[in-house]
Amino acid sequence: MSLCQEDIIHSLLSNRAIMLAYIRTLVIDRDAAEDVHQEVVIQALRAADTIKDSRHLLAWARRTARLKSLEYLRQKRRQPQHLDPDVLELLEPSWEAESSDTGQARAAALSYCLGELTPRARELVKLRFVDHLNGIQISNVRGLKVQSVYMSLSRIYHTLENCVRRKLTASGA
Amino acid sequence: MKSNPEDSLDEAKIAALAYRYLDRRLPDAKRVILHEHLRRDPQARMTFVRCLLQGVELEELLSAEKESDSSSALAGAAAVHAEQGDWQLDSMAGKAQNIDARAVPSRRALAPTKPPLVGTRLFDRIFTNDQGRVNAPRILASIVAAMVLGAGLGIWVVRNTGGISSNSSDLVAIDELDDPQSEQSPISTAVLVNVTNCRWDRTRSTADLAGGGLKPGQSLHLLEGLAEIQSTLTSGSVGRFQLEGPSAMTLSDDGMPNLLFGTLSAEFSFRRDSFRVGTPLGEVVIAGDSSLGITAAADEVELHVFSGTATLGLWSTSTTSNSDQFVKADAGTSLRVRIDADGKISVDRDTASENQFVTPASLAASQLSISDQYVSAIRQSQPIAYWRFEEERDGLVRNEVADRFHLHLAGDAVRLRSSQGTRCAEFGITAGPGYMMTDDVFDGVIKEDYTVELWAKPTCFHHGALFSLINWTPDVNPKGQHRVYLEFCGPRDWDYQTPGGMWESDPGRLLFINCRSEVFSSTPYVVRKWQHLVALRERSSMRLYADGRLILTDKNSEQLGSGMRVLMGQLYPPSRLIRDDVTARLYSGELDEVALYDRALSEAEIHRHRELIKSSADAEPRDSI
Repeated sequence: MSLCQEDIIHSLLSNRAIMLAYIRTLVIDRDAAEDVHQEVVIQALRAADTIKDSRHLLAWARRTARLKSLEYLRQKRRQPQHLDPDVLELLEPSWEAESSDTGQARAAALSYCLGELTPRARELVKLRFVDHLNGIQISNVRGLKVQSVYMSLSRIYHTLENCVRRKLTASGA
Repeated sequence: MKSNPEDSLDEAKIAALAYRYLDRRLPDAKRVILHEHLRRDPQARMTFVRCLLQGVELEELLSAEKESDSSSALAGAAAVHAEQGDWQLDSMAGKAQNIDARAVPSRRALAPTKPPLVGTRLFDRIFTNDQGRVNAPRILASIVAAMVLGAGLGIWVVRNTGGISSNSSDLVAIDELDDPQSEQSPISTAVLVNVTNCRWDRTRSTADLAGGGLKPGQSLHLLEGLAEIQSTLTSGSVGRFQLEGPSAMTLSDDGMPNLLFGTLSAEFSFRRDSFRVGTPLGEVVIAGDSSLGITAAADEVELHVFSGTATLGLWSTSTTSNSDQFVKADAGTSLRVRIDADGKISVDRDTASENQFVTPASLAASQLSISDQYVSAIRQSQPIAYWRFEEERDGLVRNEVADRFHLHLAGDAVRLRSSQGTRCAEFGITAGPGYMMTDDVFDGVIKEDYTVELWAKPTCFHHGALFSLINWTPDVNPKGQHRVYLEFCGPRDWDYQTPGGMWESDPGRLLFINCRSEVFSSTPYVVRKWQHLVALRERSSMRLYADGRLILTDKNSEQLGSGMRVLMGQLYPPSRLIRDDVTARLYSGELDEVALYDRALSEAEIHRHRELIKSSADAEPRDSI
């Protein structure tokens, strides 16, 4: 029994964000992660016959993404700056735990939770995730210490994460 | 930060380390701490994973909202606050809508979000089998196309979140940290956030070009290239400025640019105040979400308003009166203000011309539509190499007509990007080098006559190496090894210092070199518009055609010799024998459909090839310098 292409697409679509995040741990660069992800999607569709089920697909996709990421770093002659290999291995169960079909519900909850941030926090979110500024650039723009920027971002993460989990629990997702 | 890894790190600190990790700003000590905690603490691992995941979700969600032209989460958030009587509407909402209404960004350097690499081509790769048949239902294709275009999930979500309502009692405040620095009153700031092929006049620039932070009174003198500056007012209003060389500006006390001369385009996102941009003849005041372009010289200023409104307050030139004059310009209009020798000021009004400025809309205006007919015509002309840039595989772009002369891509500044259902090569997407080169040499293939045919769209007037045949191996100094060379010249007359003195350029022209003959085109090239270029040698004559017109001719009968490789995108391949960051001539722009022939194309062939592709947005090119 193998997955059909529609199932593969559905599963990869539902887990697009987590796959991109996973790849980012390896290649760091956002655009490179997009490129690697596209290659994984193509490979998955080509390998449809060999993929048993959705869980198998996601594990396969992560493994393929890892290989593709290393290949990318080799091609670009970049020194890998990712976490140590043993730590990457240890993270695998966490990635697996986060993989699910609730991506759409999570994003809806996140959209709602953004509305709960203060204007200043929303501005930080915009600088970071819309304008793609790093911590130093944000510190220059906002006149803050770099460390303050990172801690502010981490608090925003904490608030949004708690809010998202609350909303998901309430909606039974 | 606690330095003992045995201590437990709370969720916020792990998240902070995760953000540093993504920014490549993790000092060794913090890296050790992060590793240790991830090794021994399952909760830390979960936090790290969730933090990265949330970051991607936010990027997807917010970029999807920008593209979907629906009310964004930020807009929604602002609306929620407004409905609840909160103090004001957040300007970010307006900015998002403003950007949506204008254009799709086309260059990473200008719009940090990378345009998707794939469109219908990926569709083809996924759904077409080796025989060219479609493998999957069309609906499936649409889903995948949406997914890989980076908008799919986000757009779905945005359009399906109507059921969730906000509750004012749930409002969560994100306070700044206890850190005393965060308690300070914010000040207006300006920062250099992006540079594309910038050459600075370092003797006259006083700003910290390496650090990027700009302080009041500091100056920027840009010889060539594009520099993006972001100013943020105390209220949170944001202005983004694109300075195009040659230009010069200083930064005023309130963090605003004062344009001394040159070209600047800008976008503004407002809270409750106004931006003021200085020019030699007056001050442009902008007080609402808007975008505009300004060109300035000592006695003439042009103001083009693309959206919103702006007012030009002219300095008083009267010796008896201090009263300034104010001239307002609405969206779609322009003002041209001149001061004559007798001190009189004249103001002419016209329509705004966005093509004169580097904006997302002007960059996206000209698109190249490659037809099957064109491809067939090129193949019928029997090139020895034809690079279409449709696919990169294992770092190679294939020669479409033979199994050799493939190009390898090198450097971060070059990539393939989708456009009009096909792909092209895009150079200058980061500040560093980026080029394409063949590993094979053309020995015995090109004897005397040859033709190079290509389509190019330069981002701005700059020195950019388009195409060359260079006799080079890694153990040879590449200087002086070019046999054929085609270049866009920069915007200034006197340019590079060489051992023989200043190298004189012909501003805005094309330079065609065949062995020792260096000839400039009689007419300038056009920026931000696709143009068809053909450089050829036929017996003792070298010629260059632009869009079918002959713009250069000279005599030359030198032999090209052997050992030549193709190089595109920069003057020299990287070599340990030169340290040449001044004359690298990095190309910034797009390139497509490059064909190399071992004979001279006839004028009839050139015209036919040109006519088979009609470049869109031909209107209003900036064709003078």
